[in-house]
Amino acid sequence: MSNFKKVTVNTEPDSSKADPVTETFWQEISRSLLKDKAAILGGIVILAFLLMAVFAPYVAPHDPYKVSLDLQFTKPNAQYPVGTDMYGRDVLSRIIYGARISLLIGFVPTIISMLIGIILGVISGYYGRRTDFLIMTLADLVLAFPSLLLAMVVMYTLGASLLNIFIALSIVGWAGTARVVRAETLSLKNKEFVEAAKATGVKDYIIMLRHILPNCIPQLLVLLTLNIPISILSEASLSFLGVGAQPPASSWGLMVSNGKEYMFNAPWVAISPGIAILSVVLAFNFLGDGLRDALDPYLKQ
Amino acid sequence: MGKYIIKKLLVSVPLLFGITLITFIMLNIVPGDPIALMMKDHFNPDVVARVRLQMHLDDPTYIRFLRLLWDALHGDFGVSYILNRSVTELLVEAFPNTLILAVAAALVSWIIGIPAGVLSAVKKNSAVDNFFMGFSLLGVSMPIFWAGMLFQYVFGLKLGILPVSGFDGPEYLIMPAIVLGWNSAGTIARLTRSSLLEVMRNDYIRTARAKGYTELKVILKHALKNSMLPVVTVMALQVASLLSGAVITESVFGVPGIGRVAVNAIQNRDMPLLQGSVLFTTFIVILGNLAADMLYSYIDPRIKYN
Amino acid sequence: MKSNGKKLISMVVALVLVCGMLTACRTGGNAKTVDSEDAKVLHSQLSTDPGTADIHKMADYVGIPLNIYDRLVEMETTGPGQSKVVPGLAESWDISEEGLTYTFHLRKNVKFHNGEIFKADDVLYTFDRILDPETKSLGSGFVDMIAGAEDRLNGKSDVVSGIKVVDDNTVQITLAKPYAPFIPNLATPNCSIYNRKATTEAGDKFGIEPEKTIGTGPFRLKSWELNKRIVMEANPDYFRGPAKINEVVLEVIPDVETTRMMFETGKLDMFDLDDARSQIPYFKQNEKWKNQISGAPRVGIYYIAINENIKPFDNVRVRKALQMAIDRKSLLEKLFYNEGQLVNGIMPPGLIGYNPDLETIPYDPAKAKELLKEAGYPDGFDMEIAQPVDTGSNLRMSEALQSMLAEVGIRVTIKQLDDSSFFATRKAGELPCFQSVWSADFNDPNNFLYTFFAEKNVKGRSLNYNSPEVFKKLEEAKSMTDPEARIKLYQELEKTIVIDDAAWVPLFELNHLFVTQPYVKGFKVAWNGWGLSNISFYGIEIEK
Repeated sequence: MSNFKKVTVNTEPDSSKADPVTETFWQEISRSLLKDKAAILGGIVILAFLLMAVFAPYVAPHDPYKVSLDLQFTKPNAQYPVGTDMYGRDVLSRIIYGARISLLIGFVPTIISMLIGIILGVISGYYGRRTDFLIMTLADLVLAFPSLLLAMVVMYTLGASLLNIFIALSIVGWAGTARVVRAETLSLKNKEFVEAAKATGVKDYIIMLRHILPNCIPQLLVLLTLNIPISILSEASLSFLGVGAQPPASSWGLMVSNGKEYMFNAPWVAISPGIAILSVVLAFNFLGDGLRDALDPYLKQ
Repeated sequence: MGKYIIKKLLVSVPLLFGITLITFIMLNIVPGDPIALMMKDHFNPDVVARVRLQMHLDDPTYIRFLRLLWDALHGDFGVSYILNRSVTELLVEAFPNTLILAVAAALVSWIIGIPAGVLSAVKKNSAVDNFFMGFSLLGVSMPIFWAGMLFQYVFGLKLGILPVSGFDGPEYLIMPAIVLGWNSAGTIARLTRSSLLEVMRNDYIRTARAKGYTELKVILKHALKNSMLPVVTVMALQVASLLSGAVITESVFGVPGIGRVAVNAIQNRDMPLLQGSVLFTTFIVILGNLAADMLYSYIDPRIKYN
Repeated sequence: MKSNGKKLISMVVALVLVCGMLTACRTGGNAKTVDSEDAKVLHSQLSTDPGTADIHKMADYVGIPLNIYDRLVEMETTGPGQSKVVPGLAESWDISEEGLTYTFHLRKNVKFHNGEIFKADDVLYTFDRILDPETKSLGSGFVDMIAGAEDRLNGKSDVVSGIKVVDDNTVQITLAKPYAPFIPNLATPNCSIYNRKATTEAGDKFGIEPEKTIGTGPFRLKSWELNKRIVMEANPDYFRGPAKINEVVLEVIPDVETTRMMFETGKLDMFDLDDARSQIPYFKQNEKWKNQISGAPRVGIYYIAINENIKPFDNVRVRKALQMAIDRKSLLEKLFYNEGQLVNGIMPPGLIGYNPDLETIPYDPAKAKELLKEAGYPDGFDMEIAQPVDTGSNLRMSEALQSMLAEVGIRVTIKQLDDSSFFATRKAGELPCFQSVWSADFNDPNNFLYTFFAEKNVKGRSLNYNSPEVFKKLEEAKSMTDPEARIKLYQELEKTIVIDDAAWVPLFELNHLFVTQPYVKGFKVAWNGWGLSNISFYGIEIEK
């Protein structure tokens, strides 16, 4: 019940105080989050994988690229905790290094697509009319097109590579964010403090930046934690269809789809990267849910 | 209501046109020659050149686009380059399979998601909450083909109780529906949970509690029905998105649906078939949205569209 | 409030009922085969749906046409990798002295599936249809050597002047120029014979609707569920005697691992180990399967194409260095479990014209480095190897090549392209070096040398080989009538192309391995080693 006090849209005419995201916002969020055990677990897992990715050379027991054909398909043992693959490479080390690629795939396209979405969304909502119509039509087009197929076509056009995955996923992902930001913008742009700011001659982009966007932060945070796992999983699907990241950039998705063939004699090759994906994605989902719970009052404007 | 539907459908026409244009442009940029692909290694330069000419594949771009539009407006979506059959026929044949899969998957997601959401809301932030949410989210956290393969391996190969692939009866539907349905269960669970939580904060719930009903009765009798509104609208959207997206499940489990048709169309640069598939699935999504709106007003008669 | 709940429940119940009904309807309407005690049904698979059984409209996936139609002559597999031409719908034939006119004496009283008797006019109709511009056929390359074919294709004529019906059982075909492999050429599935009446009546449904698709073959189409299942049933009136199985069921399964699981659970009767090369040791060691493996060499060659338009491959020394830097024996051992043999030229063992005395290209990295130095690349150079994206066997090869070439200073980047882009780029002559395989369409050296090194083909195969003398001689050899002189010429050309000019790197001829269920008998690997989508089911028996 105590959550209710935080319904905040600052309707004060004084533009400099229009920012509802105060320092206590973050404190409040953290307090709520810490009550959610699943969210904490999620956060820890993500942190663990991040550290693993950054310090990969120190954490990985073997060289992930070293080919030793006589060690092909060794079962998991003390020396190779998750066994070796078709080329005799240590699967555990490949997973550890693979975290770099997969986490990159999670963060980069998400951040890019959200940036695009934020910019286009706020412009669309703020200026309205023709700009709005154009941008939203484009967004509708992107949203109506089945996303996996769209990503496939982009990958075929550009060629399969890590960079192109970023591009493809960004193209597919911006529209959802744009819609959300536009909705926020629409509901805010006629509020008094915005009118007042306009009246005092504050430039448009400053209004957007300082007054409108900060109000979107709760929504955006939630979207962020939702879209990162979607990115990771989409790349795995694209690998399955043959247009994912290519070696030597060995993402977990690629490891799983390549390892499919050996399911029968060396299941660890395909199963373990799958478990890695599962853990990270689940972690983000838990964190995201916890965040949503904590941000609940802010989202219910 | 009728006017609303018509208006919505009219608005979707430019959308469909846009999709057609985008698909056309993309397929023209993407490198690839469907004829050379069909011949694969039996490639013969004279034959390819000649057939391309006969099929008007080398005509100027704008002419080809206009011809496409003209035919489409007459209901003729052409003949698939690779499969040599009418596109309409192909889609009509494949669609019911995807429909069945989508509906079955949706059912699975509701069976998993709704109870999970309810239980989680009731015991918010407890171990029960985490367990049930975790279970429903598990489905959306695994790469679908990985999950599918594991299911096939365990239940199909090792235990031998379910068929690995194919589409000849209800037992073939079980694994793909579970894999696909589990994938959406998380969303349903989340929505149910948050919707229920919100409803439970309302005053009339407090009244019910004050009257002395048990917590469970409070939930089932009063809270649940009202919290289902947002969930139900998502259900209709969900079926629509399942319809357009069961691509991977269909490939792994051998379901002859439109997902496979669309993927093959892209891989083979089969322009007529791809256009047809994309338009078809977009139209389904539009219909799904419309159905969601209508469902919304059916369940809650207070909401009217005019 | 209460009615809302009721509405909800009723909706859900309705949905479940609809779902159940739809599934039931689907299965009821399926032409599902019943495996009764007496019915012998063979279950095989295709990875993609061929779309149609009209061979004129396709170039790959010839398996169904191979079984539902016959040809004038046929190739019989006489042993592993061995074959010979045997009479088909033509009992015998005469060839005129200059090698231009072929007179076929046709078999009498052969019935089509619709009861019509096969006559010479059907041969005329079939070949004319391939050349008819309206058909937009992809198979014209198999009959364009007939006199009058060009004019027919270009619309300048309504008939093919070179085909003449002498009487109901005799047809005469005259060629524009002598073409030595004409007879084996007629044995390819692309030259299957149609029935004029049936095909004309069927219109564009020919090859799609089973009742309208008529041939003379040992099987006929029974049902076709797109992307799901194609069923063929035995033709009881087949002129060689009915097949020993009643039906062949072809399941369309796109995913390789699913296919393998279907095989291991007994749902499929045969499995192509080309699809799961890394699993060959598993199948060889497994008690259940180790005696069920059939293998035979495929008359084909694995090669690495070199694109001479890409520097530095315009320099013959560099190409020779490439040839010598690759340890072919090791590749064969490690990646293909020694199932095959090395080939040194273009023509593999089993092919007419194969030269066992052709000199072997040595594996000599030291000499390779020397050659590179001579050519002006003492520190090596960078190159790309292209390959279609696939499940792994191509990639393993590319990566092995990458590490071998690194030893002589050549730095390789692997470029993966999807099938469409791959074939389109190759057609444009721009594909970087790539590794591929070619297996025989018919047993003749022309099918190998001409396909790759003829002037009109070198660009489309991204070889961009340029030797006017070789081009001239290839055209000559195509028309030569003296078989011995012709073989000799081909052998000379082979040496020039591969040894002197180092136009490509020949690798090996691989055995094609299959696993079959214990109750499948009579399974023979076809002489050209073609896979399950392209084999004849006629000789197979089931003993349960």
